[in-house]
Amino acid sequence: MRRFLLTSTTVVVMLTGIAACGSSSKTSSPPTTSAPSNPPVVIGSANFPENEILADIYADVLRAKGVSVTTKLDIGSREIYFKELENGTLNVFPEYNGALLDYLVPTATASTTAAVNAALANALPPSLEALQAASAQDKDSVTVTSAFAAAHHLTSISDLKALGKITFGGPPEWATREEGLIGLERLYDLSISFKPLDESGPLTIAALNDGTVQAGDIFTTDPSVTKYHFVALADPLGLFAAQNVVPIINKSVATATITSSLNAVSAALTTADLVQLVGAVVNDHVDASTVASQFVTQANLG
Amino acid sequence: MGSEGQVIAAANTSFGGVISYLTSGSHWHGSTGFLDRIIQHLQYSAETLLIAVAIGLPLGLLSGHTGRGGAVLSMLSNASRALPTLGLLTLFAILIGVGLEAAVIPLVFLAVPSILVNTYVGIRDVDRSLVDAARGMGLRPWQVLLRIEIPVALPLIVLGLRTAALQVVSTATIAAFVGLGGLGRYIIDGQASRNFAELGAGAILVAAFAIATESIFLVCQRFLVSPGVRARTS
Repeated sequence: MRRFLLTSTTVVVMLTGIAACGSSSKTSSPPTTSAPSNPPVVIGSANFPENEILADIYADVLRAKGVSVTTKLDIGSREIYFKELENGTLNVFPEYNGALLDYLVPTATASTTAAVNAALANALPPSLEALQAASAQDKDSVTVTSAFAAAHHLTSISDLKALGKITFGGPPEWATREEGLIGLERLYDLSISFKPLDESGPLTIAALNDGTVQAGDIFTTDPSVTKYHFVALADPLGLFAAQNVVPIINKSVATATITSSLNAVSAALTTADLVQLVGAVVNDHVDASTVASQFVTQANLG
Repeated sequence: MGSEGQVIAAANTSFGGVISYLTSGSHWHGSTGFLDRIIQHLQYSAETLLIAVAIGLPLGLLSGHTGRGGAVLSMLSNASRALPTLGLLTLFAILIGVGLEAAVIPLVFLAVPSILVNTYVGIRDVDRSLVDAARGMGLRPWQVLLRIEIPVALPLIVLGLRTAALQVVSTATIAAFVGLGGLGRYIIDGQASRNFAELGAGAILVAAFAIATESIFLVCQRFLVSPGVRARTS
């Protein structure tokens, strides 16, 4: 009796195994036959909400074109994911042109979007290509509260000069950095009393809100911008290097369909869009993939 | 062998960098100089310690003398020791704004337990026959406290103050985290701008400050504690 049970179980297990093999081979065949020109694509993202939203947007747009997409989100650091992108383990990655250029060429001085894009194209390894950059940027900015901006008619960093000495909150390293106090004093001729706090973090946000500082360093797409109605002042003299969102693609998957779909995302995406998308995920706790697919539908990218 | 020599050489040059940062006259004066920062550090520490003593000492004396509430107070203070000071600092900076209060409150949380618990235990551990004898001689409760219990418990009370002062002096560096001054400024700024000579100089000054504090309390203990009690406890 015992032996019978054992053999029958083995048979059942073997049969299910065969059935599983049969069914899996059946389901996996249609995508490869329906879209033979486009290879499967692996999209990666770094471990912060905005980057995940961008990767999800790329994934949605490519899936709509019939491309088979898998995502590998939440990768810790550029040192890790950039190697995987270069060797083709990852194929597409949402990047920031200034930060990536700085990683590849630490001595780079390019500041405007055009200059950074040109320098980045030269600096990328041969297996990779930077597609069209979006107008959306996530970078350091001189930010004030909307009440303060309205009271003093502020739209640009240059407008701060008329106020005389201003108190400013930012990360401690800004005290000695060109892309910080040195540049603000030299380029914009501001007189600043500096309070070393954090980089676009809870302390700077609290200090802006309670008036301890009049201006602070807040990232242009930080969720606090929508939450507290902050105003990022324009940087007409280009103190802060461009940080445009740009899809980096491994040339092995750069077919016409895939590149044109990703370029369409860049053409549509603005900083204001990114602020809304990040705000929805961080402030309103909506799922990143939901936020991404809503954007794809709204912008008619699907 | 060669790389080992290089590592040692590198360590020497960076230590040399710290020393030259410390000994450069320009780093001692002005609003970001060592002298001003040391005074700020002293100010934050003294302010914290005064508040902590005003809270911890009366509570410890009272509960030790009456024997009531000691267990609850000890439990509360020990639990508060587990609170992360940096976390409290960020919390208060967000709640009450970036300023001195946000830095002093977490430091008070850090200092009160050792003052309170040491005072309580010191008073509780005074020989009961001594207290009974004092009562028998007609001393009033507050006289028992002032003339018997406090002098006998003084080594432990001063030890509590010393521990608290040491913790406060070495942790007052966090004031720099919310944009204040003090010696933490060098550590936080040095780390943020990868200026390790500045960071090292700040760390050495904090250590020296802590050693000086410890020495002052040891001297105080020598003068405050009655020779008879000192001989018994040591």
